[in-house]
Amino acid sequence: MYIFPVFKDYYLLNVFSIAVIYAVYAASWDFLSGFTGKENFGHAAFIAIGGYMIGFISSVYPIKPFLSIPLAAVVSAIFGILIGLPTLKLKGPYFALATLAVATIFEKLSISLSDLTGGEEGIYGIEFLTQGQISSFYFVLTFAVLAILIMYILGKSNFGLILKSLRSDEDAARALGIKINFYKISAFAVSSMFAGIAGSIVAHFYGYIGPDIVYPLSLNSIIMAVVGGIGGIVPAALGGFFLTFISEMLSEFGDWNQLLYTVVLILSTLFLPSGIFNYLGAKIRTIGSKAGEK
Amino acid sequence: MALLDINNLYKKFGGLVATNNITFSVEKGERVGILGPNGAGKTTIFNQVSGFIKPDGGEIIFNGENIIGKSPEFIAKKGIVRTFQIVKPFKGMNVYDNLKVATLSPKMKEEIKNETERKKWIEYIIDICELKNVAYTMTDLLPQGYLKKLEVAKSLAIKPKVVLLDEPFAGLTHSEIEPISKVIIKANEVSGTSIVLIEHRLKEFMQLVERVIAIDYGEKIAEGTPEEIVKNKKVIESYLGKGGEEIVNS
Amino acid sequence: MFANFLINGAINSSIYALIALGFSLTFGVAGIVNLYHGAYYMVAAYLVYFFITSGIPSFISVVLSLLIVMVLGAFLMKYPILYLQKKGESIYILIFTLGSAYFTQYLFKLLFGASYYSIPSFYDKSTKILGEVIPGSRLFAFIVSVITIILVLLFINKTKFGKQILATSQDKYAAELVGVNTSMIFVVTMSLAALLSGIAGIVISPFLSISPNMWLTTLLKAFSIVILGGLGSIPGSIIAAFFMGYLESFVSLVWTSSMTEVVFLVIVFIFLIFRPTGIMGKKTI
Ligand SMILES: Nc1ncnc2c1ncn2[C@@H]1O[C@H](COP(=O)(O)OP(=O)(O)OP(=O)(O)O)[C@@H](O)[C@H]1O
Ligand SMILES: [Mg+2]
Repeated sequence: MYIFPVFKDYYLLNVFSIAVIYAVYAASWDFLSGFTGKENFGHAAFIAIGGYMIGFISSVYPIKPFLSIPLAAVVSAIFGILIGLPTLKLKGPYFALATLAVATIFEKLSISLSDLTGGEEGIYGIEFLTQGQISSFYFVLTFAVLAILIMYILGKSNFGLILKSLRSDEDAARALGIKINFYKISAFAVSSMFAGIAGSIVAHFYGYIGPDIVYPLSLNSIIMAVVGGIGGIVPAALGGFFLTFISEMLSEFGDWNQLLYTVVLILSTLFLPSGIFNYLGAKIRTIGSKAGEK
Repeated sequence: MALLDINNLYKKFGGLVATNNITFSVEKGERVGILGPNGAGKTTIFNQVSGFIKPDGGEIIFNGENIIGKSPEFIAKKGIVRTFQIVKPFKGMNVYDNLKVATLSPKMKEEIKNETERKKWIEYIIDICELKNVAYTMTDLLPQGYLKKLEVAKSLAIKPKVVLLDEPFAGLTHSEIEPISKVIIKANEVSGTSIVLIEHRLKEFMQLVERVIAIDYGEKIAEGTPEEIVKNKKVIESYLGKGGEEIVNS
Repeated sequence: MFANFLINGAINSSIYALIALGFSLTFGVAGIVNLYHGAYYMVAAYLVYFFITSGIPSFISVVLSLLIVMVLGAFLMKYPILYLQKKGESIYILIFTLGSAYFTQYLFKLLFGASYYSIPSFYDKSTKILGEVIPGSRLFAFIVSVITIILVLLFINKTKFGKQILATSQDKYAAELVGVNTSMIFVVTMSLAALLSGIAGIVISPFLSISPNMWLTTLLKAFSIVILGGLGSIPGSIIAAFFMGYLESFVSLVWTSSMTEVVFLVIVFIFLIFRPTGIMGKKTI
């Protein structure tokens, strides 16, 4: 099946698994924000829905992944729609604040409602994804590839084209009769569904869900997607994968690692706003077409 | 009964009456012009007819149905499409994809059954609008003349019954205007699309339209053929002012 | 209890108003939503802490810190932000300023560690008002905030330079036509905003702790207040600051102080949905 190196140590396998999940976080951020131009500053709320739901259920009933993941998909898609509906008309800083507010409300509640959420400690004892490390890795990898592929295909389709038209000018699209609200809500549903599934998979993967692995993702999803490149799913996913991989590898440097992460973000917004992988993709294409001409 | 009947259209912005009981109609296949000085309320008429602004009073009867207060999406599906005074291309995509977005509108669902048909239709629009040489150029790189053309092309791509064109020639040179003017006439003559045109470029405007509605301060002050309008005292006072006749006669 | 509510509400509100004022100015004048705004507050607080613990007299420490924060604000506007603004796509300004704020957070965490600090009070005589004992540091924060706000409003409305700022905020292009150097106005406005945020960061430091993540809540509050007041409207921001300041006092009086932020944000969210233009509607500065 997979032509993959058999990892000798589980550390690398772990890092790899987390990096592909983060690629899904970045890609799902891109699906809403990169496509429609509604920049979500609270992606962690979508992730929290998936992750914490599994945590809540697990504390009363040891739910298995094959049940919980579809459940997380449905619940987070509905949640996405519920956030999407009232914020349909908001744009730019207003939408940024609304989403930031939602994620911060979630974070504060996760910490203060500690009876339910375990507070800062989080919830332990969630069923593991599979019995072994390697099978878990393949599970995560399969999911990530599928999720990214689906979002990529949707993005390339006519549906994605309409989302992109909304990013540029909603009024122009409405004038042509495009039902903009339907498309925006759908983008919310897809984005939050994949973020929520990824969140639930992470919960099963670690056997744990807590604020530390959820709330930093509001910012990190933006960083990963923007550094990778928005509007094409794959560049954002690659951004998520590589940034996470590198940052996990450098995690022994602790705070230096985080500092470096923000430096990368700052430099890339200033000098490569189209994103590293969008840039590389364009380069490769021009080289390719030049070679084709000869 | 006309295709589009506008009766006593009334809209107030705070203390300002932007359209004061405007009444006119548009027949099928007709080319109507709306004339008026800056701030007269011309765009506000379009905004109301296309559903972008809710009127405070009046009726907009299209094909026998009162569409007043309906959403832009609904009205576009019925067959009225408008362009914008300040062009609104979809950025970050090429001309072909811009037109493709138009063909994805619900209005075209029944017309276009598959992707081959879609492609054919887009290519047809590109062809009649003379956009062939920029079909795969990103709109971010297009000069104003092409953007104005694209604006018209997008509106025609949904096979409208009525097109509301808001200053499609503004800011263009004479040689840039001609092809757009031709496209408008072609759409009108070939498909019988009714045209409602707002323009300040009098010469081109008067050649293009069959009937003119002149407005000032939100009120209709005259209606008639271009020849009648340029001789109308009220119109000359309000709009053409001093030296106006020269422009028209030139 | 009630006196406490009244007084603490006023103190909180005045500090919020001070922070929100700069955020609002930056938006009103330059059209920029500066997510770095909370970081000025933090930078000033850390700098004062650093200078004071290095043995520099309080007054000089404060002046020095504020100067540095002002230069930082001017620099950020003059180079990266104006550069990004010219390129269009305001999203990159949001991301850049938020990223820079996190950068500052991590930098300070490296330099100072994750511990909480505080600085000695600038004025420590408690005062009794309405039967409530008010610590000197809080009273001081209140007085400084109110005076600063009044001075800024006078500066904007009465001086020639302030009028140029006003003109720019109303119509950038018209201001340029009459010879206003709007880029320079942007830079000065940002520097002023940094100063205001910095002052707030310093006056709260004796009674709130200095920590590397203190900027985020502050930013969120300033952002919320300014949206609530109507983006770019100064009177709106001040009214909203008092509304929110009292709301917080009220929530901690009748419920629990740990829920103040949640209630605050829920209200912001509801407001955004039903009245995104804020209480003062359009830009009125
Ligand atoms: N959404 C709005 N809110 C408030 N006032 C408006 C709005 N839209 C238009 N107006 C005002 O209504 C009046 C008519 O505006 P309109 O745009 O219809 O003029 P116009 O005839 O299209 O002018 P121009 O030739 O300059 O395009 C103007 O005074 C304008 O300022
Ligand atoms: Mg107009």
